[in-house]
Amino acid sequence: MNIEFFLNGNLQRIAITSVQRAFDVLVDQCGIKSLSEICPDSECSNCLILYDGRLVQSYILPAFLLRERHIETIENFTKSKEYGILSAEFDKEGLLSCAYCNNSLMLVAIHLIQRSLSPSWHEISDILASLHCSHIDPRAFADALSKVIQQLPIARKTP
Amino acid sequence: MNLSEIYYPRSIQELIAIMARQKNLQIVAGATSFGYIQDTRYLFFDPSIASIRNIPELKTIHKTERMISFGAACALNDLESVYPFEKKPAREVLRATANSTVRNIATIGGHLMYQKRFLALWPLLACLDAELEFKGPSGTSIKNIWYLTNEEGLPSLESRRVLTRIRIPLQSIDRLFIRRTGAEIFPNGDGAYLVAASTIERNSISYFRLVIAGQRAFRDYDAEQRITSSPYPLTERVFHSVLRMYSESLHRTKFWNMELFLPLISQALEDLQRSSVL
Repeated sequence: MNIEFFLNGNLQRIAITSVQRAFDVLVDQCGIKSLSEICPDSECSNCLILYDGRLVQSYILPAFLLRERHIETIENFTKSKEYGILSAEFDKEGLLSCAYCNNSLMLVAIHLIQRSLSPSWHEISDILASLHCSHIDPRAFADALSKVIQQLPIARKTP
Repeated sequence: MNLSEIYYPRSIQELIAIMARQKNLQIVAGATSFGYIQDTRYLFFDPSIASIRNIPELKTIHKTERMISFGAACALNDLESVYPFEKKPAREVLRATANSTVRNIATIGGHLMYQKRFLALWPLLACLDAELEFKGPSGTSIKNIWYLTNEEGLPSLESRRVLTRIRIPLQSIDRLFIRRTGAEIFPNGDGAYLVAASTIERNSISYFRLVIAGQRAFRDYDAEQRITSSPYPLTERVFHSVLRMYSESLHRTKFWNMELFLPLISQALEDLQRSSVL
């Protein structure tokens, strides 16, 4: 069947079947490169997407549930000021040392700062618990995030 | 590879019309259990699927003076700030159901209608006397959640009906005692939850429920009645008599892991006794 959905702001029209996972459709049919599949049951969360603004694992999501939804991947944010500041700060803190989860970590960070300019420790640790990567230090992540949030108002004003 | 026909109803009426036409219709909302359990590259569904994510009525939360009602397609994370999950012990069970990215899409309806066992929130909602509304081609029915169990305490789900709403009476619950046993709950481990909910008014216990659920579900109405008809705090005689009732009914129903659950029931009763100091 044919479905339509928005991917990173662009309307996609693709043919899918009931057996496909959203992950496969996004990677194989839509050309998304930021998603990776490391463990088959998606415990690793390297397949995270924003599904109508919510973080969801695309590997456990059937493709037919993409219909009429707004999907965002990290590709949608790589040119944003937020991404640039986050990436620089995370790099400084050594948070981007794990090649496997960098994209998911950045998407989580973007999602947190988009949702709230003062994410609580609970929100941060709850979301980070979804990323099964031993390289992530939640405290360092929270500290870096709070530094970025402080820089954002100025960065957003500069052209 | 078996391909299924997919329907996207936009209202409950449209869904019911599809249910009337299609005998083997699989209803999915978040579909997380399918995507998680099926470890093959391709997913498998029944010949017809109805995705109910586009039905707005199934995503609403209503609150009246007497009850809270939420649609079966509400995501688990949408319920964090509403009764009973606003209470810390209940919220912790909600958060323990899955990680945040799964709770963002997994629905309360899918959680309660899981066919293989009782998942984490089931015993909690059973303790709070939750009522479930089902709709289907033959009409609407409302059932206490406990009646989704058969005589052996195994899940017994309605066929050809869709769970539409979950209603929970708003009541003052003084104490929630929650313990988890075993390792895995989902998809089919030996884990279980024991939940006891109680309300104490002056010198009597006005409300007491104790439910254990995992592979099977357990509840002893007579023991609950014995507690609620006794003065509070319970005398030692009543305490031991109730514990004996639970022990006998666990034996009678050949409930699994009895040697583990009986001490937990004793702890729940001791917790009830302690609540007098609150």
